Amino acid sequence: LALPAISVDPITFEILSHRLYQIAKEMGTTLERVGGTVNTTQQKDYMAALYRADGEILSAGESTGMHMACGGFAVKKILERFGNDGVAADDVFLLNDPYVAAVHQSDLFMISPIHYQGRLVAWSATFVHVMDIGALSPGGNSPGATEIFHEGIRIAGIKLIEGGTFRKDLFDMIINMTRQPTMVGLDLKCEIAANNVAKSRIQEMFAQFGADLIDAVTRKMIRHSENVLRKRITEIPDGVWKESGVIEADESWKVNLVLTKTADRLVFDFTGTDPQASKGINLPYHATFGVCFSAVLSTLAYDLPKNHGIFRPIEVIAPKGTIVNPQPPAPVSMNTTSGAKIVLYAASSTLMQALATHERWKSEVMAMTVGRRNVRHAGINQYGTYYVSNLSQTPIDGGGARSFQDGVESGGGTKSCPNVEWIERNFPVLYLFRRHAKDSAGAGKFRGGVGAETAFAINDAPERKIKGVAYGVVGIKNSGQGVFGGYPGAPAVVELSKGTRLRRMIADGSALDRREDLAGQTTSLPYCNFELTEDDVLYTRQSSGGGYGDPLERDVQMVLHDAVLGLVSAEAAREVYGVVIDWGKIDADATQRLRDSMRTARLGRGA
Amino acid sequence: MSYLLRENLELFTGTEGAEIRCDRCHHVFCRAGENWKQASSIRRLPPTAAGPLMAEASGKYVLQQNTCPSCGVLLDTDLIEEKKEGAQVEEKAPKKPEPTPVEASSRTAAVLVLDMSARCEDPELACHALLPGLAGFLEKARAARVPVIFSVSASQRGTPMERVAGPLQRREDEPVIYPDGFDKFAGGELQRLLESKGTKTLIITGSATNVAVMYTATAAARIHRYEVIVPVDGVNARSQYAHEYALYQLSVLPGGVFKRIRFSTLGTTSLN
Repeated sequence: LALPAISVDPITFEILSHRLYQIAKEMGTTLERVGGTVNTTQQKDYMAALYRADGEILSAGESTGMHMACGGFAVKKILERFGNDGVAADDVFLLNDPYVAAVHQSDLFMISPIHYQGRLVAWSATFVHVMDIGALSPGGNSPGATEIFHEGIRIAGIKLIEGGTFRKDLFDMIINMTRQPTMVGLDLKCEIAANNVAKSRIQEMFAQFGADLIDAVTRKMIRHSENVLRKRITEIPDGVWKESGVIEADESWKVNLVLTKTADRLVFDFTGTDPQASKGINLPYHATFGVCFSAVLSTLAYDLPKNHGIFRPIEVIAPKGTIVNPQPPAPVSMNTTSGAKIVLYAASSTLMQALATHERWKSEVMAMTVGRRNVRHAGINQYGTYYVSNLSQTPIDGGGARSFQDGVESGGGTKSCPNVEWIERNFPVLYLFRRHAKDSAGAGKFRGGVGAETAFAINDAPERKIKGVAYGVVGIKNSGQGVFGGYPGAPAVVELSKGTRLRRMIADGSALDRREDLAGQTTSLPYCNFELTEDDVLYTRQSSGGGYGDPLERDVQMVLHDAVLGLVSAEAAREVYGVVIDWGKIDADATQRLRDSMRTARLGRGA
Repeated sequence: MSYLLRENLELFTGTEGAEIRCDRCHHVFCRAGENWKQASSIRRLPPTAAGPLMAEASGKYVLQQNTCPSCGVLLDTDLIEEKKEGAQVEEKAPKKPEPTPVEASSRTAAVLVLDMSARCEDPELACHALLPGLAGFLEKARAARVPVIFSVSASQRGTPMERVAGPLQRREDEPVIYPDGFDKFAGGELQRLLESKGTKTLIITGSATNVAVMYTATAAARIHRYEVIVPVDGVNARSQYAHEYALYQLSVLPGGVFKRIRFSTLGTTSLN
């Protein structure tokens, strides 16, 4: 269909593209204001984006790459399933099938067509990560699931609102298949609200500027992102880069990746990756694509309008039946903290290796994190009501070190972490501490960001216990990995101490900030369900950032600063960085001698 | 023409074709397309070398480091499973001596370069790693008019390996001797050369630390009463362990002999 050629002046272009960005952001704000769960209101584990009539990403606000990409696939699947004639004004579709477009069932997509003057002109899509989805374990992430049928409700696409009529029968059916109908119901309604906001804002925009101008602007936005990205890819020398990663649980699975860069194209090839698992770590193909898209977005396109233009130079090859392209009935519920993390690590690592070959892009290289751990909890709260919730700790991972600066301290993850008081007020738990974990960061010329460590126990729990689910990649290498000589971050752990002295210490008024004082029997929790009873303490340490470059080249004053802040111990300053700190001051001579001898020790090799 | 390969490594096209080299000291690792890690200096340390919270990796993983064999810049650090072949943690040698800066008079010093023959042009051999550092040091010595004497193993005489490694750029007036022994004073030629030059201080470099260097330095200090300087980065051995135990042995020779042997680095050996 030939459209009238409309020229778009740069000012109009900027105004309209920013307006679209703001509408997507306002959708997110609506989710936060209307929703009620910790995931939506505090952690911001949601997606809100706008799509063109054909499902191409138009504007994605603050959504992550994987989510906005899957949202686009979801719109296209709805179009396929219902056909153009089956999509009416004021319909709202619901979809959460990981074998159609969702990442895992807990992410419930709500998708609204937007019509203007009787014509389909755009789509809005949102999801929130609902608090429960009727799976084996409360909260959705189910370590015991061996097939997708154990992982809760699965919907390939239905009309929850049909021509403006809310299907209360369907709505009630869905929420009553979960452990927390009220909160899941609120989640679904906040999504509908956000889609309504998007619809009215887009329709206002069409009324003000006209369909032709907006069509021209949106095409230009996508073309602009694509052109700039292709130019950047072209700048980097052609090459092939490899990475692999391991997902450790009670078994382990390998992800293999080869990135080939030719001219202005990036091909991510996962051939050689292990066959799909009968544990929920598998990542459906559209999500594997979405993660690669996310990696490109955050390395080469972080300053460009987030839209479909960034899709186009990317190709992803993922053999069927592997953990990066599983086939039904492989389970998927824990993939966002396992399969997705390892794929993101491998994709980002290969891109970093590519960037490192170019003088201009070299400074953008940063150390990557392999995985993250988290805990869900459920039970009767202090108000006598059943609840399911999430500690939402992954946002307090330490960030990877950069070529010019240390990683972000306990804020390197995406999204945000709820505050301790909010959690204590709503749920029957008491935090002993939540703080930076000393010596957790990977050393380097620039070190990784430190991860946070927390300890907590139940408090005012009517049943004197709550249930928990520990998940996320385990193992020694589940944290930040260093680059160019930088050291790995400390492994992320979830540890349960049974039979501690906690109650006695509280009665005595003792300080609760030292784990060793608590005593008790401590075990490390893999992917599993567990119970937290009265004398138990749960300890978590998030992943920390890997280091960049040689720790012996780190500025001694920065090491001193870290020691003063309690981020690095004096022992680690000496043993890892070769910096001698004596009574809060640098011993310059001893430091020089120690660093020289540590360097000398490296020389010479086995022939 | 050179291309950035990654931090501290570049692809360099020289007269020998495309090679991977250190962009700090220009040490050549290997030809383009080969695995530079295999040509690097590899150390395996306990995981706690990366900090106390890595303790739970002990016994299962080792911290493997790849460094430039010439300038020691750290190129890569990785946790690898200990059960993989050859991943044992490096054996700790006895307390090796710490290098300190030394000064020698250019009028009475001489530099010995032991067994750095053409064989060291093979990047697979440990002595290859010494070439860039020694080449620079020899230029410094020549500028200070300090005599330079080369030894080559007697077994290589009459073979293509009898010449001194090219990168050391031996000058016509710099003698090459072929003594038949680990102790290069064997046969008396070295002692005659040194006497003719009025040498009092011997700076001993070359390979290997635990063979030619150890026996020659011992004889120099014990029998011939020279003041000996060993730049620890100007000597090496097939393994770090052998390198370190030999330096340790030189530092504990009895009868006060150890006092006549000092340890420096090439950069901290000044010739006045």
